[in-house]
Amino acid sequence: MKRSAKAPLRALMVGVDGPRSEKLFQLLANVGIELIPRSVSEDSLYKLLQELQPELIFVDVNSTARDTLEHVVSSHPALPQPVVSADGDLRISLRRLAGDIGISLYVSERVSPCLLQALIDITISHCHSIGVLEQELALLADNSEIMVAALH
Amino acid sequence: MKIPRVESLEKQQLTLGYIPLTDCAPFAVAKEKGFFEEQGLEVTLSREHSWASIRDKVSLGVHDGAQMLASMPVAARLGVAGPRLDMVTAFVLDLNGNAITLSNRLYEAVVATDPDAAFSALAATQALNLVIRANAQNKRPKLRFGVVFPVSTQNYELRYWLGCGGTNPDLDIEIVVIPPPDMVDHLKSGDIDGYCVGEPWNTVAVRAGLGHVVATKYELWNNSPEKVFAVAKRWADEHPETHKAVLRALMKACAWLDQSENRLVAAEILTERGYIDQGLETVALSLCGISQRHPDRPPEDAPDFHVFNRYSANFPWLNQAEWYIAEMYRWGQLRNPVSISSIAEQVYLPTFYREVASEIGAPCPAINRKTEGNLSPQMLQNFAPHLGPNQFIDGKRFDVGKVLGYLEQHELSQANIRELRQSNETIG
Repeated sequence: MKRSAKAPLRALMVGVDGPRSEKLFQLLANVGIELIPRSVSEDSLYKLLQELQPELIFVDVNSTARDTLEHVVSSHPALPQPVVSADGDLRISLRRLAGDIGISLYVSERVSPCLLQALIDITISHCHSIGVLEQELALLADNSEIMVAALH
Repeated sequence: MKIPRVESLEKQQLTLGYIPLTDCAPFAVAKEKGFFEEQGLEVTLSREHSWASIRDKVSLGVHDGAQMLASMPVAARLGVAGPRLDMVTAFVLDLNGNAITLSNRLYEAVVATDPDAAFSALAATQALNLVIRANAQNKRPKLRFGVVFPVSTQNYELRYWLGCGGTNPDLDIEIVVIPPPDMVDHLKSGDIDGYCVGEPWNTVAVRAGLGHVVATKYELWNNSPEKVFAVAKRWADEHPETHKAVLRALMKACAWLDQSENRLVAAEILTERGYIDQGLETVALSLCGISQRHPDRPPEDAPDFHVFNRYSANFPWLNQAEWYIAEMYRWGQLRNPVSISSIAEQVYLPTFYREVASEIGAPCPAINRKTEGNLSPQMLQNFAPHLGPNQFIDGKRFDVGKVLGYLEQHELSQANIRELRQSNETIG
Protein backbone atom coordinates (compact mmCIF):
# COMPACT_ATOMS: atom_id res chain seq x y z
CA MET A 1 0.00 0.00 0.00
CA LYS A 2 1.39 3.41 -0.97
CA ARG A 3 2.10 5.69 1.98
CA SER A 4 0.57 9.14 2.27
CA ALA A 5 2.63 12.04 0.93
CA LYS A 6 2.17 13.71 4.34
CA ALA A 7 3.34 10.72 6.37
CA PRO A 8 6.68 11.21 8.13
CA LEU A 9 9.69 9.94 6.23
CA ARG A 10 10.86 6.51 7.28
CA ALA A 11 14.39 5.21 7.16
CA LEU A 12 15.82 1.71 7.15
CA MET A 13 19.37 0.73 8.03
CA VAL A 14 21.08 -2.17 6.29
CA GLY A 15 24.33 -3.59 7.64
CA VAL A 16 25.09 -0.52 9.75
CA ASP A 17 26.94 -1.58 12.90
CA GLY A 18 26.08 -0.74 16.55
CA PRO A 19 27.89 2.56 17.25
CA ARG A 20 27.04 4.16 13.89
CA SER A 21 23.52 2.84 14.12
CA GLU A 22 23.07 4.54 17.51
CA LYS A 23 24.40 7.84 16.17
CA LEU A 24 22.08 7.68 13.17
CA PHE A 25 19.13 6.74 15.37
CA GLN A 26 19.68 9.86 17.53
CA LEU A 27 20.07 12.06 14.49
CA LEU A 28 17.00 10.77 12.68
CA ALA A 29 14.87 11.04 15.82
CA ASN A 30 15.99 14.67 16.25
CA VAL A 31 14.97 15.65 12.73
CA GLY A 32 11.68 13.76 12.83
CA ILE A 33 12.52 10.84 10.56
CA GLU A 34 11.15 7.55 11.78
CA LEU A 35 13.63 4.68 11.92
CA ILE A 36 12.12 1.33 10.99
CA PRO A 37 13.23 -0.97 13.82
CA ARG A 38 14.02 -3.99 11.68
CA SER A 39 17.21 -5.91 11.23
CA VAL A 40 17.57 -6.64 7.54
CA SER A 41 19.71 -9.33 6.01
CA GLU A 42 20.35 -9.82 2.30
CA ASP A 43 18.01 -12.84 2.36
CA SER A 44 15.07 -10.80 3.58
CA LEU A 45 15.56 -7.76 1.34
CA TYR A 46 13.41 -9.02 -1.53
CA LYS A 47 10.39 -9.45 0.72
CA LEU A 48 10.92 -6.74 3.33
CA LEU A 49 11.64 -3.69 1.20
CA GLN A 50 8.35 -3.83 -0.66
CA GLU A 51 6.53 -4.47 2.58
CA LEU A 52 8.21 -1.67 4.55
CA GLN A 53 8.50 0.92 1.75
CA PRO A 54 11.03 3.21 3.42
CA GLU A 55 11.86 6.59 1.87
CA LEU A 56 15.49 6.40 2.96
CA ILE A 57 17.93 3.52 3.23
CA PHE A 58 21.25 3.93 5.02
CA VAL A 59 23.53 1.05 4.05
CA ASP A 60 27.06 0.26 5.11
CA VAL A 61 29.19 0.99 2.07
CA ASN A 62 30.90 -2.39 2.56
CA SER A 63 27.78 -4.43 3.28
CA THR A 64 27.61 -7.73 1.40
CA ALA A 65 23.89 -6.99 0.93
CA ARG A 66 24.60 -4.04 -1.39
CA ASP A 67 24.24 -5.90 -4.67
CA THR A 68 21.03 -7.59 -3.57
CA LEU A 69 19.71 -4.19 -2.53
CA GLU A 70 20.60 -2.83 -5.98
CA HIS A 71 18.61 -5.60 -7.61
CA VAL A 72 15.53 -5.05 -5.46
CA VAL A 73 15.43 -1.28 -5.98
CA SER A 74 16.26 -1.49 -9.70
CA SER A 75 13.22 -3.75 -10.12
CA HIS A 76 10.94 -1.36 -8.17
CA PRO A 77 11.43 2.29 -9.18
CA ALA A 78 9.13 3.51 -6.36
CA LEU A 79 11.62 2.25 -3.79
CA PRO A 80 14.60 4.41 -2.77
CA GLN A 81 17.32 4.58 -5.44
CA PRO A 82 21.09 4.90 -4.95
CA VAL A 83 22.46 8.43 -4.76
CA VAL A 84 25.79 8.44 -6.57
CA SER A 85 25.75 10.59 -9.64
CA ALA A 86 26.28 14.15 -8.60
CA ASP A 87 28.46 17.15 -9.20
CA GLY A 88 29.67 19.98 -7.02
CA ASP A 89 28.87 20.11 -3.31
CA LEU A 90 26.68 17.02 -3.31
CA ARG A 91 29.46 14.92 -4.85
CA ILE A 92 31.88 16.09 -2.17
CA SER A 93 29.33 15.35 0.55
CA LEU A 94 28.60 11.88 -0.84
CA ARG A 95 32.28 11.16 -1.02
CA ARG A 96 32.68 12.08 2.65
CA LEU A 97 29.61 10.08 3.60
CA ALA A 98 31.02 6.99 1.85
CA GLY A 99 34.71 7.50 2.57
CA ASP A 100 34.64 8.90 6.13
CA ILE A 101 31.40 7.59 7.61
CA GLY A 102 31.17 4.41 5.51
CA ILE A 103 27.53 4.95 4.53
CA SER A 104 25.79 4.88 1.16
CA LEU A 105 22.39 6.38 0.82
CA TYR A 106 19.29 5.39 -1.16
CA VAL A 107 16.38 7.83 -1.34
CA SER A 108 12.90 7.85 -2.84
CA GLU A 109 11.39 10.63 -4.96
CA ARG A 110 9.82 12.13 -1.82
CA VAL A 111 13.27 13.30 -0.73
CA SER A 112 13.97 16.59 -2.48
CA PRO A 113 17.53 17.56 -3.55
CA CYS A 114 17.65 20.27 -0.83
CA LEU A 115 16.53 17.84 1.85
CA LEU A 116 19.03 15.28 0.57
CA GLN A 117 21.94 17.73 0.77
CA ALA A 118 20.92 18.84 4.27
CA LEU A 119 20.49 15.28 5.45
CA ILE A 120 23.87 14.16 4.17
CA ASP A 121 25.64 17.17 5.65
CA ILE A 122 24.03 16.77 9.05
CA THR A 123 24.77 13.02 9.04
CA ILE A 124 28.45 13.66 8.36
CA SER A 125 28.58 16.45 10.90
CA HIS A 126 26.69 14.50 13.57
CA CYS A 127 28.69 11.26 13.17
CA HIS A 128 31.95 13.20 13.00
CA SER A 129 31.15 15.42 16.02
CA ILE A 130 30.08 12.51 18.18
CA GLY A 131 33.20 10.61 17.12
CA VAL A 132 35.42 13.53 18.11
CA LEU A 133 33.53 13.96 21.40
CA GLU A 134 33.92 10.27 22.20
CA GLN A 135 37.65 10.44 21.46
CA GLU A 136 38.09 13.50 23.67
CA LEU A 137 36.15 11.89 26.51
CA ALA A 138 38.21 8.70 26.20
CA LEU A 139 41.38 10.80 26.25
CA LEU A 140 40.15 12.67 29.32
CA ALA A 141 39.39 9.40 31.08
CA ASP A 142 42.88 8.08 30.25
CA ASN A 143 44.52 11.28 31.50
CA SER A 144 42.47 11.20 34.71
CA GLU A 145 43.60 7.65 35.39
CA ILE A 146 47.22 8.65 34.82
CA MET A 147 46.85 11.64 37.18
CA VAL A 148 45.17 9.50 39.85
CA ALA A 149 47.91 6.89 39.50
CA ALA A 150 50.57 9.60 39.74
CA LEU A 151 49.01 11.05 42.94
CA HIS A 152 49.14 7.64 44.57
CA MET B 1 60.51 0.52 -25.41
CA LYS B 2 59.66 3.97 -24.12
CA ILE B 3 59.57 4.18 -20.33
CA PRO B 4 57.89 7.43 -19.31
CA ARG B 5 59.40 9.33 -16.42
CA VAL B 6 57.83 9.12 -13.01
CA GLU B 7 57.59 12.93 -12.92
CA SER B 8 55.09 12.77 -15.76
CA LEU B 9 52.59 10.89 -13.60
CA GLU B 10 49.78 13.10 -12.35
CA LYS B 11 49.41 10.85 -9.31
CA GLN B 12 51.61 8.13 -7.86
CA GLN B 13 49.67 6.80 -4.87
CA LEU B 14 46.61 4.94 -6.05
CA THR B 15 43.88 2.86 -4.46
CA LEU B 16 42.30 0.25 -6.70
CA GLY B 17 39.29 -1.86 -5.74
CA TYR B 18 38.86 -5.54 -6.42
CA ILE B 19 36.48 -8.37 -5.55
CA PRO B 20 38.03 -11.56 -4.12
CA LEU B 21 37.58 -13.78 -7.17
CA THR B 22 40.16 -15.84 -9.05
CA ASP B 23 40.25 -13.33 -11.86
CA CYS B 24 41.45 -10.52 -9.60
CA ALA B 25 44.81 -12.17 -10.39
CA PRO B 26 46.09 -9.37 -12.70
CA PHE B 27 45.81 -6.86 -9.83
CA ALA B 28 47.40 -9.23 -7.31
CA VAL B 29 50.25 -10.15 -9.68
CA ALA B 30 50.92 -6.53 -10.71
CA LYS B 31 51.20 -5.65 -7.04
CA GLU B 32 53.13 -8.66 -5.75
CA LYS B 33 55.55 -8.97 -8.69
CA GLY B 34 56.36 -5.27 -8.55
CA PHE B 35 54.85 -4.33 -11.93
CA PHE B 36 53.00 -1.33 -10.49
CA GLU B 37 56.16 -0.23 -8.72
CA GLU B 38 58.19 -0.46 -11.95
CA GLN B 39 55.83 2.15 -13.35
CA GLY B 40 56.41 4.49 -10.43
CA LEU B 41 53.06 3.68 -8.85
CA GLU B 42 52.38 3.00 -5.18
CA VAL B 43 49.19 0.97 -5.35
CA THR B 44 46.99 -0.05 -2.45
CA LEU B 45 44.57 -2.80 -3.39
CA SER B 46 41.28 -2.49 -1.57
CA ARG B 47 39.27 -5.66 -1.14
CA GLU B 48 35.61 -4.85 -1.70
CA HIS B 49 32.45 -6.70 -0.77
CA SER B 50 30.07 -5.71 -3.55
CA TRP B 51 30.01 -4.42 -7.11
CA ALA B 52 27.78 -1.54 -6.02
CA SER B 53 30.43 -0.45 -3.55
CA ILE B 54 33.08 -0.58 -6.27
CA ARG B 55 30.89 1.50 -8.57
CA ASP B 56 30.22 4.12 -5.88
CA LYS B 57 33.82 4.39 -4.72
CA VAL B 58 35.20 4.79 -8.24
CA SER B 59 32.50 7.25 -9.20
CA LEU B 60 32.93 9.40 -6.07
CA GLY B 61 36.73 9.33 -6.29
CA VAL B 62 37.22 7.30 -3.10
CA HIS B 63 39.11 4.84 -5.33
CA ASP B 64 41.13 5.73 -8.41
CA GLY B 65 39.96 2.72 -10.38
CA ALA B 66 38.79 -0.84 -9.98
CA GLN B 67 38.13 -4.26 -11.37
CA MET B 68 34.61 -4.22 -12.81
CA LEU B 69 32.40 -6.63 -14.69
CA ALA B 70 32.80 -5.94 -18.43
CA SER B 71 29.15 -4.92 -18.68
CA MET B 72 29.23 -2.54 -15.69
CA PRO B 73 30.75 0.62 -17.18
CA VAL B 74 28.43 0.32 -20.17
CA ALA B 75 25.38 -0.08 -17.94
CA ALA B 76 26.54 2.82 -15.77
CA ARG B 77 26.86 5.11 -18.80
CA LEU B 78 23.31 4.20 -19.78
CA GLY B 79 21.91 4.36 -16.25
CA VAL B 80 20.67 0.79 -16.59
CA ALA B 81 19.52 -0.71 -13.27
CA GLY B 82 21.29 2.05 -11.39
CA PRO B 83 22.47 5.63 -11.50
CA ARG B 84 23.84 7.12 -14.72
CA LEU B 85 27.60 7.50 -14.31
CA ASP B 86 30.43 8.27 -16.69
CA MET B 87 32.77 5.30 -16.52
CA VAL B 88 35.35 4.25 -19.09
CA THR B 89 37.58 1.26 -19.66
CA ALA B 90 40.60 0.83 -21.88
CA PHE B 91 41.61 -2.61 -20.63
CA VAL B 92 40.01 -6.05 -20.43
CA LEU B 93 41.49 -8.00 -17.53
CA ASP B 94 40.42 -11.48 -18.60
CA LEU B 95 38.21 -13.66 -20.79
CA ASN B 96 35.90 -16.53 -19.74
CA GLY B 97 36.15 -17.60 -16.08
CA ASN B 98 32.45 -18.10 -15.14
CA ALA B 99 30.24 -21.16 -15.06
CA ILE B 100 26.68 -22.24 -14.37
CA THR B 101 26.21 -24.72 -11.53
CA LEU B 102 23.01 -26.62 -10.74
CA SER B 103 22.10 -28.20 -7.41
CA ASN B 104 22.39 -31.99 -7.29
CA ARG B 105 18.61 -32.36 -7.24
CA LEU B 106 18.02 -30.19 -10.29
CA TYR B 107 20.97 -31.70 -12.15
CA GLU B 108 19.59 -35.19 -11.59
CA ALA B 109 16.18 -34.11 -12.92
CA VAL B 110 17.81 -32.53 -15.98
CA VAL B 111 19.97 -35.57 -16.79
CA ALA B 112 17.02 -37.91 -16.21
CA THR B 113 15.18 -35.87 -18.86
CA ASP B 114 18.06 -36.08 -21.34
CA PRO B 115 21.26 -38.04 -20.55
CA ASP B 116 23.14 -35.87 -23.10
CA ALA B 117 22.73 -32.99 -20.66
CA ALA B 118 25.62 -34.47 -18.69
CA PHE B 119 27.96 -33.73 -21.59
CA SER B 120 26.47 -30.79 -23.49
CA ALA B 121 25.63 -27.30 -22.26
CA LEU B 122 23.05 -26.95 -25.05
CA ALA B 123 21.36 -30.27 -24.25
CA ALA B 124 21.37 -29.27 -20.58
CA THR B 125 19.45 -26.04 -21.14
CA GLN B 126 16.96 -27.77 -23.44
CA ALA B 127 16.40 -30.50 -20.85
CA LEU B 128 16.09 -27.88 -18.12
CA ASN B 129 13.33 -26.22 -20.11
CA LEU B 130 11.37 -29.49 -20.11
CA VAL B 131 11.89 -29.78 -16.33
CA ILE B 132 10.65 -26.20 -15.88
CA ARG B 133 7.56 -26.89 -18.00
CA ALA B 134 6.79 -30.05 -16.04
CA ASN B 135 7.17 -28.11 -12.77
CA ALA B 136 4.75 -25.46 -14.01
CA GLN B 137 2.20 -28.08 -15.02
CA ASN B 138 2.45 -29.64 -11.57
CA LYS B 139 2.05 -26.19 -9.91
CA ARG B 140 5.47 -26.40 -8.29
CA PRO B 141 7.27 -23.19 -7.28
CA LYS B 142 9.50 -21.54 -9.87
CA LEU B 143 13.15 -22.50 -9.83
CA ARG B 144 15.46 -19.79 -8.43
CA PHE B 145 18.86 -18.92 -9.83
CA GLY B 146 21.53 -16.66 -8.36
CA VAL B 147 23.63 -14.08 -10.18
CA VAL B 148 25.99 -11.52 -8.68
CA PHE B 149 24.66 -8.15 -9.88
CA PRO B 150 21.71 -6.93 -11.98
CA VAL B 151 23.95 -5.81 -14.87
CA SER B 152 26.55 -8.55 -14.45
CA THR B 153 28.10 -10.60 -17.22
CA GLN B 154 26.80 -13.59 -15.23
CA ASN B 155 23.21 -12.34 -15.48
CA TYR B 156 23.49 -12.05 -19.27
CA GLU B 157 25.23 -15.43 -19.55
CA LEU B 158 22.62 -17.23 -17.45
CA ARG B 159 19.85 -15.57 -19.48
CA TYR B 160 21.55 -16.44 -22.77
CA TRP B 161 21.89 -20.07 -21.76
CA LEU B 162 18.30 -20.30 -20.55
CA GLY B 163 17.06 -18.55 -23.68
CA CYS B 164 18.84 -21.11 -25.89
CA GLY B 165 16.73 -23.81 -24.30
CA GLY B 166 13.49 -21.88 -24.74
CA THR B 167 13.23 -20.74 -21.11
CA ASN B 168 12.10 -17.17 -20.53
CA PRO B 169 14.23 -15.99 -17.59
CA ASP B 170 11.75 -13.25 -16.68
CA LEU B 171 8.66 -15.47 -16.63
CA ASP B 172 9.63 -19.10 -16.18
CA ILE B 173 12.16 -18.85 -13.35
CA GLU B 174 13.22 -16.36 -10.68
CA ILE B 175 16.60 -14.63 -10.68
CA VAL B 176 17.99 -13.24 -7.43
CA VAL B 177 21.23 -11.41 -6.64
CA ILE B 178 23.54 -13.06 -4.10
CA PRO B 179 27.13 -12.14 -3.22
CA PRO B 180 29.57 -14.67 -4.79
CA PRO B 181 30.93 -16.01 -1.46
CA ASP B 182 27.35 -16.75 -0.30
CA MET B 183 26.28 -18.66 -3.42
CA VAL B 184 27.39 -22.07 -2.17
CA ASP B 185 25.56 -21.68 1.15
CA HIS B 186 22.36 -20.67 -0.63
CA LEU B 187 22.69 -23.69 -2.93
CA LYS B 188 23.26 -25.93 0.08
CA SER B 189 20.23 -24.59 1.94
CA GLY B 190 18.00 -25.11 -1.09
CA ASP B 191 17.23 -21.41 -1.31
CA ILE B 192 18.42 -21.45 -4.92
CA ASP B 193 18.54 -24.23 -7.51
CA GLY B 194 21.54 -22.99 -9.45
CA TYR B 195 23.74 -20.02 -10.15
CA CYS B 196 26.10 -18.36 -12.57
CA VAL B 197 29.23 -17.06 -10.91
CA GLY B 198 32.98 -16.64 -11.33
CA GLU B 199 35.62 -18.92 -9.90
CA PRO B 200 36.34 -20.30 -7.38
CA TRP B 201 32.66 -20.58 -6.43
CA ASN B 202 31.71 -23.25 -8.98
CA THR B 203 34.64 -25.43 -8.04
CA VAL B 204 33.85 -24.94 -4.34
CA ALA B 205 30.29 -26.27 -4.82
CA VAL B 206 31.43 -29.24 -6.89
CA ARG B 207 34.21 -30.18 -4.48
CA ALA B 208 31.75 -29.98 -1.60
CA GLY B 209 29.49 -32.41 -3.46
CA LEU B 210 26.69 -29.83 -3.67
CA GLY B 211 26.30 -29.32 -7.41
CA HIS B 212 27.34 -29.89 -11.01
CA VAL B 213 28.68 -27.45 -13.58
CA VAL B 214 26.49 -27.65 -16.68
CA ALA B 215 27.96 -24.82 -18.75
CA THR B 216 31.03 -22.63 -18.75
CA LYS B 217 31.24 -19.08 -20.00
CA TYR B 218 33.67 -20.38 -22.64
CA GLU B 219 30.97 -22.73 -23.94
CA LEU B 220 28.37 -19.96 -24.04
CA TRP B 221 30.55 -17.51 -25.98
CA ASN B 222 34.18 -18.51 -26.50
CA ASN B 223 36.66 -15.96 -25.16
CA SER B 224 34.23 -13.24 -24.23
CA PRO B 225 35.30 -10.44 -21.90
CA GLU B 226 34.75 -10.90 -18.18
CA LYS B 227 36.37 -8.17 -16.04
CA VAL B 228 37.78 -4.81 -17.07
CA PHE B 229 39.89 -2.16 -15.41
CA ALA B 230 37.50 0.80 -15.19
CA VAL B 231 37.86 4.37 -14.01
CA ALA B 232 35.60 7.41 -13.84
CA LYS B 233 35.79 9.45 -17.04
CA ARG B 234 36.64 12.49 -14.94
CA TRP B 235 39.62 10.57 -13.48
CA ALA B 236 40.73 9.38 -16.93
CA ASP B 237 40.67 12.96 -18.24
CA GLU B 238 42.67 14.29 -15.29
CA HIS B 239 45.22 11.46 -15.09
CA PRO B 240 46.12 10.29 -18.63
CA GLU B 241 49.75 9.42 -17.85
CA THR B 242 48.86 7.64 -14.60
CA HIS B 243 46.14 5.75 -16.46
CA LYS B 244 48.70 4.61 -19.03
CA ALA B 245 51.11 3.55 -16.29
CA VAL B 246 48.41 1.36 -14.68
CA LEU B 247 47.67 -0.20 -18.06
CA ARG B 248 51.35 -0.94 -18.70
CA ALA B 249 51.60 -2.70 -15.33
CA LEU B 250 48.42 -4.68 -15.96
CA MET B 251 49.57 -5.65 -19.47
CA LYS B 252 52.74 -7.05 -17.98
CA ALA B 253 50.81 -8.88 -15.26
CA CYS B 254 48.41 -10.40 -17.79
CA ALA B 255 51.26 -11.52 -20.06
CA TRP B 256 52.97 -13.07 -17.04
CA LEU B 257 49.75 -14.83 -16.04
CA ASP B 258 49.33 -16.41 -19.47
CA GLN B 259 52.63 -18.24 -19.24
CA SER B 260 51.39 -21.62 -18.07
CA GLU B 261 54.32 -22.15 -15.72
CA ASN B 262 53.20 -19.10 -13.71
CA ARG B 263 49.63 -20.17 -13.05
CA LEU B 264 50.38 -22.21 -9.93
CA VAL B 265 52.50 -19.35 -8.57
CA ALA B 266 49.55 -17.03 -9.21
CA ALA B 267 47.26 -19.37 -7.27
CA GLU B 268 49.76 -19.29 -4.39
CA ILE B 269 49.80 -15.49 -4.47
CA LEU B 270 46.00 -15.33 -4.39
CA THR B 271 45.54 -17.81 -1.57
CA GLU B 272 48.60 -17.23 0.59
CA ARG B 273 48.60 -13.43 0.52
CA GLY B 274 44.97 -13.02 1.45
CA TYR B 275 43.36 -12.14 -1.88
CA ILE B 276 40.97 -15.12 -1.77
CA ASP B 277 39.88 -17.05 1.34
CA GLN B 278 40.00 -20.47 -0.28
CA GLY B 279 42.56 -23.27 -0.37
CA LEU B 280 45.34 -23.43 -2.95
CA GLU B 281 44.02 -26.61 -4.55
CA THR B 282 40.56 -25.13 -5.18
CA VAL B 283 41.87 -21.91 -6.71
CA ALA B 284 44.68 -23.60 -8.66
CA LEU B 285 42.34 -25.97 -10.51
CA SER B 286 40.66 -23.52 -12.86
CA LEU B 287 43.71 -21.25 -13.00
CA CYS B 288 45.80 -24.18 -14.22
CA GLY B 289 43.25 -24.99 -16.93
CA ILE B 290 41.38 -27.78 -15.18
CA SER B 291 37.62 -27.74 -14.71
CA GLN B 292 36.02 -29.92 -12.06
CA ARG B 293 32.45 -30.06 -13.28
CA HIS B 294 31.11 -33.05 -11.37
CA PRO B 295 31.83 -34.41 -7.89
CA ASP B 296 31.78 -37.99 -9.18
CA ARG B 297 33.86 -37.60 -12.33
CA PRO B 298 37.51 -36.73 -12.92
CA PRO B 299 38.34 -33.08 -13.70
CA GLU B 300 38.51 -32.09 -17.37
CA ASP B 301 41.09 -30.13 -19.31
CA ALA B 302 39.89 -26.57 -19.91
CA PRO B 303 43.01 -24.71 -21.07
CA ASP B 304 41.06 -21.53 -21.86
CA PHE B 305 38.99 -21.47 -18.68
CA HIS B 306 40.86 -18.29 -17.74
CA VAL B 307 42.54 -16.25 -20.47
CA PHE B 308 44.48 -13.18 -19.36
CA ASN B 309 46.47 -12.12 -22.40
CA ARG B 310 46.43 -14.40 -25.46
CA TYR B 311 43.85 -13.92 -28.22
CA SER B 312 44.26 -10.12 -27.84
CA ALA B 313 42.39 -10.57 -24.57
CA ASN B 314 43.15 -7.15 -23.12
CA PHE B 315 41.90 -5.17 -26.11
CA PRO B 316 38.56 -3.39 -25.45
CA TRP B 317 36.64 -4.44 -28.57
CA LEU B 318 33.80 -2.04 -29.30
CA ASN B 319 31.56 -4.78 -30.64
CA GLN B 320 31.76 -6.54 -27.27
CA ALA B 321 30.45 -3.43 -25.50
CA GLU B 322 27.72 -3.36 -28.17
CA TRP B 323 26.86 -6.98 -27.39
CA TYR B 324 26.18 -6.06 -23.77
CA ILE B 325 23.99 -3.14 -24.82
CA ALA B 326 22.10 -5.54 -27.12
CA GLU B 327 21.51 -7.88 -24.17
CA MET B 328 20.22 -4.98 -22.06
CA TYR B 329 17.65 -4.31 -24.78
CA ARG B 330 16.91 -7.99 -25.21
CA TRP B 331 16.00 -8.46 -21.57
CA GLY B 332 14.11 -5.20 -21.16
CA GLN B 333 16.64 -3.52 -18.86
CA LEU B 334 17.05 -0.78 -21.45
CA ARG B 335 14.05 0.55 -23.33
CA ASN B 336 14.78 4.06 -24.56
CA PRO B 337 16.51 4.01 -27.95
CA VAL B 338 20.14 5.15 -27.99
CA SER B 339 22.91 5.09 -30.57
CA ILE B 340 24.48 1.75 -29.62
CA SER B 341 27.77 2.31 -31.46
CA SER B 342 28.17 5.79 -30.01
CA ILE B 343 27.67 4.60 -26.41
CA ALA B 344 30.17 1.78 -26.96
CA GLU B 345 32.70 4.32 -28.28
CA GLN B 346 32.21 6.55 -25.24
CA VAL B 347 32.86 3.73 -22.76
CA TYR B 348 35.35 1.31 -24.32
CA LEU B 349 38.58 3.05 -25.38
CA PRO B 350 40.49 0.98 -27.97
CA THR B 351 42.50 3.97 -29.20
CA PHE B 352 43.87 4.66 -25.73
CA TYR B 353 44.78 0.97 -25.37
CA ARG B 354 46.51 1.05 -28.76
CA GLU B 355 48.56 4.08 -27.72
CA VAL B 356 49.79 2.30 -24.59
CA ALA B 357 50.48 -0.95 -26.44
CA SER B 358 52.50 0.83 -29.10
CA GLU B 359 54.60 2.63 -26.45
CA ILE B 360 55.76 -0.69 -25.04
CA GLY B 361 55.83 -2.61 -28.33
CA ALA B 362 52.98 -4.94 -27.40
CA PRO B 363 50.93 -6.45 -30.23
CA CYS B 364 47.57 -4.81 -30.75
CA PRO B 365 44.66 -5.27 -33.18
CA ALA B 366 44.46 -2.63 -35.93
CA ILE B 367 40.66 -2.66 -35.99
CA ASN B 368 38.18 -1.75 -33.22
CA ARG B 369 35.42 -4.21 -33.99
CA LYS B 370 35.35 -7.85 -35.07
CA THR B 371 32.68 -10.36 -35.97
CA GLU B 372 31.80 -12.84 -33.23
CA GLY B 373 30.59 -16.38 -33.79
CA ASN B 374 32.60 -17.07 -36.94
CA LEU B 375 35.76 -18.79 -35.64
CA SER B 376 35.78 -22.33 -34.28
CA PRO B 377 38.72 -23.95 -32.45
CA GLN B 378 39.28 -26.26 -35.44
CA MET B 379 39.65 -23.29 -37.80
CA LEU B 380 42.32 -21.76 -35.62
CA GLN B 381 44.57 -24.74 -34.95
CA ASN B 382 48.21 -23.71 -35.28
CA PHE B 383 47.09 -20.23 -36.17
CA ALA B 384 48.20 -16.89 -34.77
CA PRO B 385 47.93 -16.61 -30.97
CA HIS B 386 46.26 -13.21 -31.39
CA LEU B 387 42.99 -14.75 -32.56
CA GLY B 388 40.86 -17.05 -30.46
CA PRO B 389 37.70 -19.03 -31.11
CA ASN B 390 34.60 -16.86 -30.69
CA GLN B 391 31.60 -19.15 -31.19
CA PHE B 392 28.27 -18.82 -29.41
CA ILE B 393 26.59 -21.89 -27.95
CA ASP B 394 23.64 -21.48 -30.33
CA GLY B 395 25.81 -21.04 -33.44
CA LYS B 396 24.62 -17.47 -34.05
CA ARG B 397 26.82 -14.77 -35.61
CA PHE B 398 27.23 -11.23 -34.40
CA ASP B 399 28.51 -9.38 -37.46
CA VAL B 400 30.23 -6.01 -37.26
CA GLY B 401 27.64 -3.27 -37.64
CA LYS B 402 24.73 -5.70 -37.38
CA VAL B 403 23.68 -5.34 -33.77
CA LEU B 404 19.99 -5.09 -34.58
CA GLY B 405 20.20 -7.97 -37.03
CA TYR B 406 21.74 -10.03 -34.26
CA LEU B 407 18.99 -9.06 -31.85
CA GLU B 408 16.39 -10.03 -34.44
CA GLN B 409 17.76 -13.57 -34.52
CA HIS B 410 16.57 -14.17 -30.96
CA GLU B 411 13.00 -15.29 -30.45
CA LEU B 412 13.02 -14.37 -26.78
CA SER B 413 13.58 -10.63 -26.85
CA GLN B 414 11.91 -7.51 -25.52
CA ALA B 415 13.86 -5.19 -27.84
CA ASN B 416 11.78 -2.83 -29.95
CA ILE B 417 13.77 -3.20 -33.17
CA ARG B 418 11.67 -0.69 -35.13
CA GLU B 419 12.32 2.05 -32.57
CA LEU B 420 15.98 1.12 -32.34
CA ARG B 421 16.44 1.39 -36.11
CA GLN B 422 15.53 5.07 -35.92
CA SER B 423 18.36 5.75 -33.46
CA ASN B 424 20.83 3.46 -35.21
CA GLU B 425 20.57 4.36 -38.88
CA THR B 426 24.10 3.27 -39.64
CA ILE B 427 23.85 -0.21 -38.18
CA GLY B 428 21.74 -3.04 -39.37
